[in-house]
Amino acid sequence: MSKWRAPFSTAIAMATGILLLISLFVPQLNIVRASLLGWAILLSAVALLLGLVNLFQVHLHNIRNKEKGIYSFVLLAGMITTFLITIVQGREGVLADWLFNSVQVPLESSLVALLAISLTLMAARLIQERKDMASQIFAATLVLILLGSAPIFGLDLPLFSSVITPFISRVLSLGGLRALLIGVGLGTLATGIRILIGSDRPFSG
Amino acid sequence: MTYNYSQDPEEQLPDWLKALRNQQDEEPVADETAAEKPAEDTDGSKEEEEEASEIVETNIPQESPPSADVEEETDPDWLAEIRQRHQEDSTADEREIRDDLEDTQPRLISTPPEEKVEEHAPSDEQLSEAFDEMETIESPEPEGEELAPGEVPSWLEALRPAGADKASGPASATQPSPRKERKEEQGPLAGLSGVLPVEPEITQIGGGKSHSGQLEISRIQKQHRSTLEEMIAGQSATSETVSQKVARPKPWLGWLVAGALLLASLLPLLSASESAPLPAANTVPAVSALYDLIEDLPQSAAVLVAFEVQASLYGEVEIAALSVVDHLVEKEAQINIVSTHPTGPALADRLMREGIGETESYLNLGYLSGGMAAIRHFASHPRETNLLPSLWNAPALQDLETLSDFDLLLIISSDADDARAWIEQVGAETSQDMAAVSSAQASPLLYAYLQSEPATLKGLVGGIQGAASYENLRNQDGAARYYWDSYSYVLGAAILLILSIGLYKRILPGEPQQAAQSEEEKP
Repeated sequence: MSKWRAPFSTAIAMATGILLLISLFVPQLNIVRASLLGWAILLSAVALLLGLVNLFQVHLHNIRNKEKGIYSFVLLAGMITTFLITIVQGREGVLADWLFNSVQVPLESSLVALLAISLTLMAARLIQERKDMASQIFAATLVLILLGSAPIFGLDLPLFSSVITPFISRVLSLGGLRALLIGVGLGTLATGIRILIGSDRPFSG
Repeated sequence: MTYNYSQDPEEQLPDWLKALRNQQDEEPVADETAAEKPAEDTDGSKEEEEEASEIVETNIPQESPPSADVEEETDPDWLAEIRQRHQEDSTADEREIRDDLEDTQPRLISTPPEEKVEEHAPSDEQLSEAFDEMETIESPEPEGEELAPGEVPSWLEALRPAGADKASGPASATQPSPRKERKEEQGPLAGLSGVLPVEPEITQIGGGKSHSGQLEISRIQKQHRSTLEEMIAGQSATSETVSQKVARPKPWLGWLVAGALLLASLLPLLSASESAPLPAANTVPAVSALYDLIEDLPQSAAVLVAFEVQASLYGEVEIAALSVVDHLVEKEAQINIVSTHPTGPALADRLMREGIGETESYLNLGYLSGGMAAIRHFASHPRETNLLPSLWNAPALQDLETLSDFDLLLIISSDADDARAWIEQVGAETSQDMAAVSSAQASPLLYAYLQSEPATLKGLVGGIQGAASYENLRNQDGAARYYWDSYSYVLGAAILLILSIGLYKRILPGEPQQAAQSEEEKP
């Protein structure tokens, strides 16, 4: 049975992809496409639940083997508590809302705030330690962007805020980002074609 | 090998030259072969001796002495020179042939030992046939002894096309070539070399083309080969890792940076300073475009808000979104919120309740699982998606069937990829305008959609700077104004820290020990 799994899954993936592709040009197949997309949405929700179960198992294993058990214990305790409270009270419950707005959001925001401090330090060390041309250009661009992002100590610098920074962010940076988008589009197209012709089989293991 | 007489060049000779030839043939020819007949006469039969002598006679070209009288009388000088040179050449050729025959004749006439004959000797008929074949090969007219075998003078031989003489010339038939020098080891021809052809005739026409075993490549191909070899060598060769010791950052430096940034952000907030000027109105076209879009919305317009915000970046996006959403509320728009992030609906509720203070003018459709596929499905069949079904029955949504029924699609996103998914999947399904509010890190990517032709995005507010500009347009002080000074001072502090920490080692001379140590660490 296992030897048929890969060809079977490949055939299903190819047929589904081709059917969805054809449905874009044949309006009568819109119902089929809607059904398939509905299945995909349900499956992704199940996958989220499976990820939750897997996370639970991994940290339970850590607690049993005493591998950083304290962190795993805190995580499992928080996860079970939040899950139960949200199940009981619903998403808009008082306690569930408090847990989310007073614990999760400040924690994640604090991590990003720490990122600002570490990035500043790393930029200083970049200038300090790296003397190659690319690093110097990177550091110079960073300083120019910062100078034009807002008034510095309440003092507006028109040369930077109106000329240099807009030129860097909306001309130089935009060119690179457009190239990035084209590359992403071509990569997506290539991946789709590879799956449609059966050359790429990420689902068959 | 047989000689092709149909191509005999003598037939093409002029008449006067043929006359000379006939006159020359009529003169007596000395029979030298009889004198050279070997005296050794062993067990061979008489018939065999006679046949062998005939073969020898026919193999040896008859030497014809020049008739000087005729030449002097009839030939011009140039022809006399040619004839003399021909005679010299033919004499040399004949001498070589004669030497070869002297080597082969005794063995041809002599018979092998009886034991060998008994073992390998063919029958008499086979032997006679073999000799007949030899006669046929060497002499087409063996019975006419007085007629000399067709010989072509060397000067005429030279006029032949190149290669023809190698294939079918009579001289070549008599001259042993290296390829024919195969020595017979068995049978009555044992000991003879070059009697029978080694290879079929077809293989002897023309010179064999020798093929080199070496690969023939051009100069460009050689260059490509060397380039490929260099690339392969570069891949296999491990690059020497230049180890450079870098001092670990001092712990107090991290505390210094954190303290300076914290101080720069808190001081303006605590002092409620509003010294930093807001960006001038209409300086950012994307912000102005979004402002105009909302201003042009009809009364109670239906607006779909895709709230793709992560909790970690909520602080920044909240400031950017507050002024725009507040503008929508001010226009009494019906806001419908959907999100593909699990935390999105909760954050949207927080924004609307705590930021705007509204609980009635919006509908939170909830979490849309499935990522990009879900967005695609929602764009084509909004009512068939697995959102909260009861909300679709709300009075504000009863008349909405497709996304084009909404007056505006507003994407509030902290990540560029989330916004890109909505733009690409929904853009083809709706004819209504799309606008975005994003974090500062996502806005550069979204500018690509803003400046496309036709523009996919009609307006964009990015980060605190965009929000400050939007508030300036609305002549209203909001969250952006509140944090603008803090933002300004933090940016100034960050620039100062980066430059001062980064450049002090370069500007100020280091301690002697440190300098010496750094010199030693250089590879």
